[in-house]
Amino acid sequence: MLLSFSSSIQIILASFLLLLSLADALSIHPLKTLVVYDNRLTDLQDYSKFFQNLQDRSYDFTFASINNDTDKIRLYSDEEKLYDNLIIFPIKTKRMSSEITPKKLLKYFEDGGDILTITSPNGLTDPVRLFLNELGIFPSPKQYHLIDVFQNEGSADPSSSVTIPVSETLNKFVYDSHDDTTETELIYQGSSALLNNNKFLVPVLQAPKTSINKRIDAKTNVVDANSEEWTIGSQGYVVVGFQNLKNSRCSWIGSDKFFSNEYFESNSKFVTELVKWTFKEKGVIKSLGFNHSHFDGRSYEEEPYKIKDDIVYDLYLSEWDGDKWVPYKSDDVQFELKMIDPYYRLTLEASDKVIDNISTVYTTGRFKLPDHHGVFTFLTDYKRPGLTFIEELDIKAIRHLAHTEYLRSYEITNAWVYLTSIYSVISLWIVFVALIIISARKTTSKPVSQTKKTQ
Amino acid sequence: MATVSSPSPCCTSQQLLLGIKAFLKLVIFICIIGAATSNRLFSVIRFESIIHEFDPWFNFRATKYLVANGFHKFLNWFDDKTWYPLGRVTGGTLYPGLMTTSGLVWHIFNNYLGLPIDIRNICVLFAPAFSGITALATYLFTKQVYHNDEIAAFLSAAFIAIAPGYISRSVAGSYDNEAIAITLLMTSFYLWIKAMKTGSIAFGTFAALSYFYMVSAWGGYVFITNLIPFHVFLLILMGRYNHKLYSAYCTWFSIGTLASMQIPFVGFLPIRSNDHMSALGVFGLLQFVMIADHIKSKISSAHFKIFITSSILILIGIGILGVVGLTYLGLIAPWTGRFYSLWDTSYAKIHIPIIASVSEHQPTAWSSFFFDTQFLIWLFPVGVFLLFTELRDEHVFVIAYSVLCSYFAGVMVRLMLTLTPIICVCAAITISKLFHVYLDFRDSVIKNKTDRLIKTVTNLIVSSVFLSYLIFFVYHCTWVTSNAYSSPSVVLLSGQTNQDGSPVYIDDFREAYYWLRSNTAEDSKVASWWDYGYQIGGMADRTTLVDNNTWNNTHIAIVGRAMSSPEAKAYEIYKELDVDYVLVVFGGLLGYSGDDINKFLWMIRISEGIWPEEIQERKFFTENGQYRVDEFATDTMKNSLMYKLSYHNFPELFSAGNMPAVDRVRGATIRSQDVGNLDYFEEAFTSENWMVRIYKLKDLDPEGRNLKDVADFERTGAAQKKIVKKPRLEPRLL
Amino acid sequence: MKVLELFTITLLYCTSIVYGLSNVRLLKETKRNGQNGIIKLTDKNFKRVLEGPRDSYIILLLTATHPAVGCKVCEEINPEYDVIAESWFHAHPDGINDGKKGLFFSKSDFIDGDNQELFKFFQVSNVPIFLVYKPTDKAGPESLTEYSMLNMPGVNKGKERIQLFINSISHHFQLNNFVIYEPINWGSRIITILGVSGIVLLLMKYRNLVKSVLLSKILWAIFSCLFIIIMCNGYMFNKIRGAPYAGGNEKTVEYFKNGMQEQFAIETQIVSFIYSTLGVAVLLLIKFVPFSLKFYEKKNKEHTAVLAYLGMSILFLVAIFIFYSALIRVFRMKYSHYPFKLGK
Repeated sequence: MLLSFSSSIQIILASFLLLLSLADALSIHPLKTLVVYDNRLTDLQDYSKFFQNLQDRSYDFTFASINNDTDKIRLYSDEEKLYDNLIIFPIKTKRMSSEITPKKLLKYFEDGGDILTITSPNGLTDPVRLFLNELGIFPSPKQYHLIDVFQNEGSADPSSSVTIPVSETLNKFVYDSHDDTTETELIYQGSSALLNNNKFLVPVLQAPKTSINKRIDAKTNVVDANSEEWTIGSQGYVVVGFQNLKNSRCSWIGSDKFFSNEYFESNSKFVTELVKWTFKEKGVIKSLGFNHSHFDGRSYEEEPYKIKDDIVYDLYLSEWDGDKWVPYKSDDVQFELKMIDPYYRLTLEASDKVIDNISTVYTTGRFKLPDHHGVFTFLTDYKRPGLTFIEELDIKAIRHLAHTEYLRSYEITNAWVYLTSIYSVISLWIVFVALIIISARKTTSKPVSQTKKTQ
Repeated sequence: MATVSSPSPCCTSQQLLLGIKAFLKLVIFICIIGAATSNRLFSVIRFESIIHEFDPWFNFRATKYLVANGFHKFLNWFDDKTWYPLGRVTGGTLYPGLMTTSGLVWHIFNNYLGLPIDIRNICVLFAPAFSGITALATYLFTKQVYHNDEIAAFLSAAFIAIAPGYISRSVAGSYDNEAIAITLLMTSFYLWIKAMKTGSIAFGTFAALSYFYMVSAWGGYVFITNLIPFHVFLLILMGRYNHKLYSAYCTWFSIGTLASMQIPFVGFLPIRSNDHMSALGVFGLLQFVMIADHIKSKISSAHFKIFITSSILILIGIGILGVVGLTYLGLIAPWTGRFYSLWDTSYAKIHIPIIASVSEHQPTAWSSFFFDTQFLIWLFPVGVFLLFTELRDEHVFVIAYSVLCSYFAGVMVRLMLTLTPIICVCAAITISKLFHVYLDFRDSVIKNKTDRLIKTVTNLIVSSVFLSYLIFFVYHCTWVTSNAYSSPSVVLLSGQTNQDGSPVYIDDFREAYYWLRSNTAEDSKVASWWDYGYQIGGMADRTTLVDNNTWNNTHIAIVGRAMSSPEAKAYEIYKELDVDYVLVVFGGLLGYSGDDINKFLWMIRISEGIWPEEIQERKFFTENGQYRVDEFATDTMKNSLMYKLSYHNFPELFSAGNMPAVDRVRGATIRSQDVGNLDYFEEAFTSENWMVRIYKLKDLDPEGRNLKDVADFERTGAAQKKIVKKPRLEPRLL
Repeated sequence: MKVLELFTITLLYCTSIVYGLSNVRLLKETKRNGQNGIIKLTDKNFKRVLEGPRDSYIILLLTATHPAVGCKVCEEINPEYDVIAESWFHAHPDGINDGKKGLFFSKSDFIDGDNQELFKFFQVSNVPIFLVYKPTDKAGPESLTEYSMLNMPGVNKGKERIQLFINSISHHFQLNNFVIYEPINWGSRIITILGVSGIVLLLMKYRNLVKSVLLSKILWAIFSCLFIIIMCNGYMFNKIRGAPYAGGNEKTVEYFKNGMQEQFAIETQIVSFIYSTLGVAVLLLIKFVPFSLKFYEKKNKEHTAVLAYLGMSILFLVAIFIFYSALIRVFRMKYSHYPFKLGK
């Protein structure tokens, strides 16, 4: 038990060192990537620019065709995850392999593997679809295409591409269109998806308002008027990200053409940013811990908190800039002090202090604990769509005042009235007793003298 | 029995007789204390040296804290392991008398006598040791009350030593406030009678100090607070006011009240709560009577009559107005709920189900009285009658005690405990009186030898018959103690024996608590019904949500609400409270009737009191108004968390043998289709006899799905949906 | 009385401009058709009453109290519903909740007739049911179908259920100041006052007799002892639990219930009798037997004295033995594991 524990520490240390040595690594994890594709649908040559782009950024690819390289399609060796990233191109077959089932995909995803799923109206295999459904992404079924009759008026091919201005990107952490002065239009051709209300979804691009998703008969290439619309207008999404609680990311795009050399010119920047986000080259922040203590610096261990103590809470946040950790700056980080309900919700101030050049110190400044004893949670729950999640919590008891910690009676001015009355009664009583004794001496002296006489 | 000595002419022989008498007394005392102690050791012999039941576990835990941290820290103890997340200001909400006493005993043994004794053993043997002192105090009390009658005194001491009514709360291991409280009760009463008879300020002070000790040990001190003023009040009504009474009561009241206010838990109650108002009122009345008495000696009787009637009327008016006004203004707290339930017997049922739910607060059936006191119970009224024939001041006290307390004991089973001492005293008086008549062999006027013989024979017959009843009583007490009151209820006897003849124990509780202690994170929070709160805290050392200190109805109702809600809702409630594990007690496999399904109705009732729109007792009953758990149970019942947690996998246990899964407590067959899937909880531990079942709350799904969907996905993941249908989704909220 | 009513109604008219006219309409209905503040609904008026738009909640009870229907709950609910409505109107004479929404009560009892259509409209299949109409802007028949069911809270009838009902609707409709109001029954009060003063007068007249009774030690003693005996025999248990007098069926009567925690009311009486007899026997043994001895001794009838002494002692001892063994026997019926016996 002990041995395995220490060895696991060694492994962690080793991987940490490895991380340090890979100074040119772009993501926070290595970039061993498996690409699964269907050679009946996808010719890798069509995507050479896309792959070249990634390889330039030291991605390490393993390509596996669903038909020919079944032995290569393995996500796990024993319990060990083989790849850090997974890219799935559209796949035509109904089932993929025993290695890629919805459950396995989900397990891989929960184990920290990042996934980029690309589907198309021709290639939407069941495992991928079911996996996406679990995340709350419902891509349109096979042969359903995103159609925009306004954009493609008069076009013979109903399923021809649509354009979406890149400025309509919904999440600035995935793609920050503010830097983009050129009015780039993304060219998109493929499916769209419905989304449910899963709070971990990161919608990136909506379908155009004038679009509709309907079935197109594969043989006649005519819109099947009887088919039910899968999405209408901006109800549909074409690029969707997802980040789970373990900070693994998955992106879905309903178009393989989007990555192709054909559209690469217009789409390349967006694609690059999307891949960067998916494989955690960007939008990654982490906490280097937190600290709370009395305002005068004593820690909780030295002096447990009691009600109405002045304390300070600090939090250290870093951001991955693609190369190293740098301080993360933001003005919307909040701290909560709660016991069932929040007693405080304070916006943390990013101070100018920076620790080791890698993290910003956020602080609440001095604040008073509530006048209520109990077991409180010191919580920072920073979950912004597009950024990795940060949840730091610490449960600490805030005790009541001990019986010696109240004000003494004479320190309370209101009590002076009572104190005066108490002491005046006591002193008057003493005077009274003294008077009684003095006045009674004469009467008691008689029997004393009598007894003396009898003796 | 003490022999009646005849006057002897010789001085030395008289001294010898006195010496023999003293020696005999000592021997009798040693015997009584020995009987008291040894009778209470059945549980230790049969089981082991273990703390019993529920509340004692808290007392034990508090004592350990006291011994480890000292008195000052104990007094200011903020316990963050109970009532999560509220915590409990334990030092300010307990009666510290018990803990400090045993802490002191421990201290003396360890630091002065050099006997390193484990604090647990002190706690276990605390009650038997104090029962010996109770016998002593009862001896003194009876002697004081009844003409220094040694026979009555010794008899009452012997009775209280072995009466089951007292043993029920003072066997070894039942380390509860009552263990010390009865001792203090009798001591306080003894000192009060002494003070009242002598008018001595010293004894008044001792009575007050004893009262203070009692206040520090048990909430039942209110009984003394009301009984002594009542006694005084009766005496005044009977026109028996005297200066002795005045000085005794005033000393007792002023010192006792001031002292009792030093207990943090009591605080300002003595001047604010209506429970204490009678003592204050009688104090005022006594001043008035004293002044009136003084004036009476100064002025003529005709004037005095006018004076007295007018001032009485005025005073009563002011008093009533004052109490009503102060209560209305909120300056004096209204009577506490438990107090109400004593008088208005249906009050608790409607307003405070939490009090009604406690089995100790149930009314007492006649058989319990007989069980607890056997033939003392019918000697008891005779004793009261005998006291009436003389009706001295101190007899009034015993009569008032008897009448009031027999009412209280009838309303609440737990108050049987306070009734038992006075039953013993009165019965002892009866028997003593009987023996005085029939064991009197002194020379009588009868000359005839045969007549004398007949008389002696009669005396012998009567005495021996009653002696045999006394022996029968001893048998009864021993049997009751060993069979009914010596189970720790933490460990149970199965009633079967191993091959070597040793009994088979059912040790599920400790097994489960030990599992919790060794397999869960140290800061885990365990939710259970409040009965098990103290045990989890004491044995498993884990944080609990609610426990047997039922001061916060809402918090208890939250737990009840979770238990009576469907799984998803319960999960939500528990997650809000950071719960990690849920513990239920299930007796269906073994036939243990004190399990959670049987307590479930109280959980529903208590939470219905706060969320009447969400939890409705009616919905747990079938159309015919039956409380069922089999296939006819209502859906609400079947979907409730308690049902699911109790019966999870229960039918499957029997399915291998193709037997019906019969719940042996309720005699109901449980079908597997009625016990739904458990999606939000997973079984973490089930004890050997399934009595304790512990479930872990599953983690939140990393993908943010609800756990039912996750479970559905896990179950049907293999069978993939063939047809792709457009999902029906809620409009997306952006 | 009439004037006052008129006055309040006109007053309400003035205030009603703020709250909307519907409240006044409902209040008028309550005054006209109502009984105890409950609007009685018939086929003729129910649409008119229940139609929107309205600013108030209307609670509708559909019930059938006819004995032939055999609905026990309906019969229980009826007076309780009256109390609820009365309590509401007692605190809110205009039916309006602190300037917010109002609350009105209506009822239709199948026994009253002229309401088949109504029962058909609501498709009543079981009684009693509570329906609630919420405030709405809609008008016409459309607003008639917008009702929801209200759960009947609690199991125990009487005050407890009323309280639960009031709690529940107070919570849902955010009502303030809704507490149970029990109207004062003046008739019974007057009778009580007259009775009490009569008794007081009688007591004054026979002051000496009363005084001697009050000061009689023996009476107090007997009373106290009886009280103790009754209390120690589970009298309070019967009171609180409402224990049945005896058990069994038509043919056989069961006097003793098995089990320590249960009992019949008759057990209290039987055991009290046993205790009393035992007590009296012991008392006689202590007081009367020696007294008789002394009595005859004084008369110098030594032999009689001693014989009486012996005879009575034996007599009482036998009585004690018989009753004590009976007691043990009875106890064994309750608690079958009890190992001891006395006599047979």
